[in-house]
Amino acid sequence: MCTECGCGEANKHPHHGHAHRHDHDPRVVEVQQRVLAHNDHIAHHNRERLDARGVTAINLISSPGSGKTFLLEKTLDALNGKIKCAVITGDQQTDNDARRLANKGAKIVQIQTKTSCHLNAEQVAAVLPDVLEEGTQLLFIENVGNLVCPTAFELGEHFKVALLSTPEGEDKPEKYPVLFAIAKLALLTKMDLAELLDWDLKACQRSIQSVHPGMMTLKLSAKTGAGMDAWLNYLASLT
Amino acid sequence: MHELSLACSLIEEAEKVLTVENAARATRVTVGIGKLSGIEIGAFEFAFPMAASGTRLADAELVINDLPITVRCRACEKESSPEFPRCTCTHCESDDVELVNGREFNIQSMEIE
Repeated sequence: MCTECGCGEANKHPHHGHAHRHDHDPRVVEVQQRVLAHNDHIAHHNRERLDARGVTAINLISSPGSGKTFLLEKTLDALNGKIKCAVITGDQQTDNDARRLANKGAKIVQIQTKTSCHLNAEQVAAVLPDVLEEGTQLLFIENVGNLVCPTAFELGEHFKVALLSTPEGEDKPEKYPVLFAIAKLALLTKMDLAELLDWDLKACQRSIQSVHPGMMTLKLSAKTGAGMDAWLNYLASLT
Repeated sequence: MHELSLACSLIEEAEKVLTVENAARATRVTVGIGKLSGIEIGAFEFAFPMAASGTRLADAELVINDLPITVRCRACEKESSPEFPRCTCTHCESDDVELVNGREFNIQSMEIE
């Protein structure tokens, strides 16, 4: 039984009312068991904890190097003293990101996933009590840099945000459609490099819209600050 | 490449079924994988024998059903199955949809003995 809610999930076995057989003839059993039921169940509890505390949680997913941490640095600087934030940041190794995000008014917890290419709900559940301080309004979950694997694992977040930086080119949404199909918002980052790279905004928007028509898209440069107001206003609207 | 850990999760769940059913081994496991599950079927098929090695699924045949996306539209209230990777209503083109199916990663059935 699940020790948290007593719902029985932890020991749930597919069972269909038929008696056990002890012969050895091949037989087919209908199962319909979600393979990631355990992860999803913990994610569900994470979401309940977040909702009970009035925290909005955002799962930030992108390639490595698209600027998640730098965007968070600038975001925390701007929201310091205005909106109470917390960050769970995931990497395979090092606490470099936690150190970069420290001293900006937000509680930061680093998860090292070691060999794993994504965060899972259990890892998030383990650090939630620590990362959510009294009055926390926004929780950013900076996933391991990877456009693919993090999409398979629900963490209990309210929604996903996909980051796409200009050096990655315009057509990542079509090449890696799952993230862009299920994320609520696309953030086009490093816009200050667009001209230098001959990066084509219209082509990128076409790529996004081909996967997720109507997808909300913001473009910004955390370095120059261009476009940051729209992102910060959006975050404020969530609180 | 998270498919090996997913294959290990599949083996874990399948082993539970074998225990409940008091079965010695599985000869086939049928898995449903949604188009939006984030699971690459080719990589998963590659990883499965490694995950199954030394378990009661070591000789099991893996059958994968590639499951379509289904959305329920909040605008016109109809269900439809847009072509991957789109997640919009095929009736009215609205993207104000709830994803009903497409994220599955399920064991659907097992042949056991």
